[in-house]
Amino acid sequence: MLYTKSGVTLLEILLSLVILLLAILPIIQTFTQSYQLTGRQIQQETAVKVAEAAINKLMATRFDFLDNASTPVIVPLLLDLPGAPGIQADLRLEGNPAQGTGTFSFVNIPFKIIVEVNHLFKGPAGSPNSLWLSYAFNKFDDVNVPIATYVASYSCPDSFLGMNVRVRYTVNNQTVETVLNTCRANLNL
Amino acid sequence: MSAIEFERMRRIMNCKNGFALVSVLLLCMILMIFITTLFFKTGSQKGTHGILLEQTKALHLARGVMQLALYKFKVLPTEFYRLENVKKSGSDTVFLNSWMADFDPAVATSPIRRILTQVPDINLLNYTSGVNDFSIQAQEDLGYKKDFLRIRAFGKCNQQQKQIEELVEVIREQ
Repeated sequence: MLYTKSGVTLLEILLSLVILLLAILPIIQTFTQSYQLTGRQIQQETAVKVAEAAINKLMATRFDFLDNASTPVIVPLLLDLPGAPGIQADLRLEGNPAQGTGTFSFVNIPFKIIVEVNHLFKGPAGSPNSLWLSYAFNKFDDVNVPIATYVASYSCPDSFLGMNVRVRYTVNNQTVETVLNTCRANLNL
Repeated sequence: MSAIEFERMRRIMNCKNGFALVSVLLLCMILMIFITTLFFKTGSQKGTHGILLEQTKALHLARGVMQLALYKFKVLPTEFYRLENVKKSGSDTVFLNSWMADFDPAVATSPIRRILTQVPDINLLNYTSGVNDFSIQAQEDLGYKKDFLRIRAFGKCNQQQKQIEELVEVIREQ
């Protein structure tokens, strides 16, 4: 081709460009999708990590703050997110049992942390909704007598809490929520 | 093959017309393979977050159950030791039927069942949880004796299961 004078025809070039364009368009689309997916994953990952951080903080918070925050309590929460260390997202707990919220912004998206504490087992000891724990009861109260397969129950006051942490954010008018759940017992009885 | 035919074949082979088109088609094929690979790779990443989220949910559920197990030991230590002694003597049945029943979601009245029913997205995801092991590990040597309570709890969210273990030093008062 280098030694001929004919060169490439205009039709060939146009056809080649059209084919190349057809091939490149899906690539651009795939890259755009991949970029959007990565962005979405960063937001979702952030929400999960923040929910985990909040739960860890609540697990280490004084039990009575969660059980009964009649006087509002501020639980400091410091988040270390990728590229943004030291974000302050303090939780304000209030109520019996405690309910609370905290807010922060990451990559220009406002996030809201919602804490819901609830008594999984309500009522005074002995009531149907209180926490009943079972154990084998030795009727003769003598360790040498084999324990009968009789199961007795022990009911406890409200020393066991359920905790939900929701992390909510809105992107493109769509609200996304991540919820984690765990329990907390009063082990300092 | 005659000389004329040979000459004609040589001309066809040396003809460079349409070379650009062939090159572009070849390039397009390579690009298509690249796109397809990229597309499937991106697609396979889509489920990753869901799996990680389920693992996290399972882990925190297991932590909650661990709290229940620790709480039970906290309020009923004497009963636990007596049952543990029975277990050591060779009968697991009493221990399983009484002590461990609270950690069995199959038991309708068990506390763990109540915990599971109050998980916020229980209707969307399949949760289960329990305690695998609740035992005393005694360490004894010259001059000392230590007891450790070993609890292994698990949480499961859909197909993702997480197991946690706690070893707590306990004091056995005679």
